[in-house]
Amino acid sequence: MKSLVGLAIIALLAVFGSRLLERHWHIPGPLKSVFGGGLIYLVAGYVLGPSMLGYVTGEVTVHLSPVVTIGLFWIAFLFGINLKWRDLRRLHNTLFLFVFGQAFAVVAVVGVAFWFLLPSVFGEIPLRELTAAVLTLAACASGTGQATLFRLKMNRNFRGPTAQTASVAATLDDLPAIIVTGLVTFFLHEATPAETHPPGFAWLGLAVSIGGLGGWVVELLLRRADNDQARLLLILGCMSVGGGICAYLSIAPVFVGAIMGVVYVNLSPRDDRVFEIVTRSESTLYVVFLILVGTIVKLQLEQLAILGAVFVGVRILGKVGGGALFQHWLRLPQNPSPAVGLALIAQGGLAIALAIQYARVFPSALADTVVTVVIASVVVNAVYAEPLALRAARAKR
Amino acid sequence: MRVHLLVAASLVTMIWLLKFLQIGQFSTVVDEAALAFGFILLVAFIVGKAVKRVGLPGLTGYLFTGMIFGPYGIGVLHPSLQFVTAGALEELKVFQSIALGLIAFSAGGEMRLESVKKRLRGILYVASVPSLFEFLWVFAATWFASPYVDFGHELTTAGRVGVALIFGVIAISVSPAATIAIVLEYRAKGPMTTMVLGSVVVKDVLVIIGFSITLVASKILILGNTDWDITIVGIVAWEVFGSLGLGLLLGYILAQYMRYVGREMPLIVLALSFLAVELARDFHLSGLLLLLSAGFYVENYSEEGDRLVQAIDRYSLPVLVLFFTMSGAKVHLTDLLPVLPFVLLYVGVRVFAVWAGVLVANNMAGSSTHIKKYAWTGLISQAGVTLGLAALLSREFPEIGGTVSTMIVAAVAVNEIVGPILFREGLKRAGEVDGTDTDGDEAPAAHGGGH
Repeated sequence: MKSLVGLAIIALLAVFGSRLLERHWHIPGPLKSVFGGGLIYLVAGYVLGPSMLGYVTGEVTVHLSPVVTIGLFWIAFLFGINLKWRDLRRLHNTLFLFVFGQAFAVVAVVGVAFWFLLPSVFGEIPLRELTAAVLTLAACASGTGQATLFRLKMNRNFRGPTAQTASVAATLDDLPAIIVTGLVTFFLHEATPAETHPPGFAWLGLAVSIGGLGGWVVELLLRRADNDQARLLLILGCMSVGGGICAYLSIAPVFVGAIMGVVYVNLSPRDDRVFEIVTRSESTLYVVFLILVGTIVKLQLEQLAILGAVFVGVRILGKVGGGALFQHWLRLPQNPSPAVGLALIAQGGLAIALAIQYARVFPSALADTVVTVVIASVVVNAVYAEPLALRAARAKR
Repeated sequence: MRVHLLVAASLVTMIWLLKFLQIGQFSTVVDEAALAFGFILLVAFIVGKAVKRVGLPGLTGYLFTGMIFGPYGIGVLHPSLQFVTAGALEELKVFQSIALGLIAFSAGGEMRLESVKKRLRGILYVASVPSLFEFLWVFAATWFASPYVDFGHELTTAGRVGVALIFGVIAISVSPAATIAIVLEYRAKGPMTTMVLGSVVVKDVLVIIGFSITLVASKILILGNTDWDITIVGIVAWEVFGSLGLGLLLGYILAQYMRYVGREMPLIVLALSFLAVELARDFHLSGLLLLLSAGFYVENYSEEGDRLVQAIDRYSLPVLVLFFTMSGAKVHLTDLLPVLPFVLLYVGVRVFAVWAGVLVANNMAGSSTHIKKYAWTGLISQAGVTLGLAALLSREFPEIGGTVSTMIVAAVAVNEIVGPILFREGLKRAGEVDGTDTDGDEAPAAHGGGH
């Protein structure tokens, strides 16, 4: 309990500190999105955590592991409830091809780069572990942070065909990442003697069933809830039960959470109240989640300098190159700028969630590095993602 | 409702099957806590809704859920039936501190200065006279019953006085959390609500003072320990006045934050609630008084009262459900049966003493008929504070503390169930449920967010 007191103090300090800084200190333009997107809490967690000042001990992270589990589920559910079939079917087919095409371009370039890079940094890595690490890194790279584009739309007049295409891409391009990382945990995870893992396909079926059933139960309960407090309680309860069952069965919470969200939203497509509740309550959970994630980052500067720089660089290459290539090839009806990939640089909480999920299933030094690289990339990309997105929106078509 | 119950039953069956068939396993007890957290929220909420249908408060449903699915309920029959294990409960303790803090904040936010001022005399009477009655009646009953109870045979006459003193002072304690939760659940507003809330707070102060004095006296009578430690006076004064003073300071800081920054309010309130309760314990302060006075300051001396209530409101239901289910889960049902006769005597005498005390107090204060008739119902619940005192007794009096503590815990279980039901009925009959007010001397205040 004492360690949790430390964390609560840190959460308060982080919130007070960041708001005071925002108010009384001129934050340089590029850092504004780090503050605005809440990534400052991630940095605060790292600075105050065991790696630097040691105010938050490793014990806290262990004790608050349920918060991380619920956080992973929450982020995935939030992603899932964006995927309304009613809205998606209105989109042009070529737009889907563009979204998934550029995502797979990123997966391909990041995957190839790290397939060769990781063994050169870590020495010989068993094939199963290497495949899992490379696929996770590639999947984390493929998605785009929706919150950044949403903030731009609200505050910086981020509009027009390029902005519109980028927004659709940001809503959808995490889907392959969730599927890939889910499959990694089902097929590449080697069960310990204590675990009774059935074959991968059976585990996949179980995960889909739990997600589907969970989504249906959420819909059944929420349809009958009479106020927002009850709705929040039911959502929180379903997330925690889902996350708890995933922990019990050692299956991917992000995968199950996303299915739950998709099933729920498509059973109840007209009810936007849940979306409002989830997004409104998100910040509280998200702040604690980010601080906790920050505390578990183990920064090895030499490795990070190489792996992080390559990850960020290759990802940009994949996003920009993939975006230009598929836009040119598909000739999207919206006719966005060929530089549309520049608007897809931001990364969000889902990338962190996927990396954490991987590290929980494959705990190792390699997994710690993967998490650190992804987190570093999310923070670094936050610095310049907004100006690049604005530039893309203004670029000639 | 049928759908809800079906979902709860399916969830119970599914988790039982997973555990019974040992399909998976938790790598740590911490992971287990996530499932227990969700299980409590969903099942207790549904059971709470179900018991509301039969006219009982939701809180009773949460307590029952905890008793049944907790480590000392059906879990004693087979490990697969342990839906909320003792380990998971330990991990979830953080939410109890948060809940207690939020409840105290809410209570402070509910207390308007004018309203309290108007009824101050009544509040003081209703807190002190029944406390005196409870103390004297339970003291006498314990004194007469003690020769017939296990530990009584081993005690000298002075020792029996010591034990009777302990039971007497423990009878004064109430559960502010349960009382406030019922007020929130039924959106109660009105003169009786204000009087009961105020009295519960004053009683809490009386318990702190009374228990500290009784503990010293009982040590002398039971253990023959004649070392009188004068610092006890300072400790009690610090606990009461320190808590109130620091609470006001916290209220001031919070009001300034809300005024000038005002972001992430739910997180700030949750973190402050947890911190205040935990740190108060370390610094020998009362977390309840501290947060109550903080809430009182924000409500009465700043313009941010409504925003505070809104921030608390958002998470109050999940937190209350967790708090009371966890309280229920701590009740050892199996320990209740052997001491049942004494417990029923204690509960009966205490209820009578509260009723008589409140009646006399309200006659002295000249309260309205409704308050005279029903205010006693708000002073029956006992929970956390009482359990804390029982645990302290086990430590201070190792020879008899175990039995005394078991009896107190069993009595708390009964009062915890009976108290909220009585108070809900009392509020209903006084016409103060849902902000209605039959006395007409206090219009329900327009409060942002509602409950």
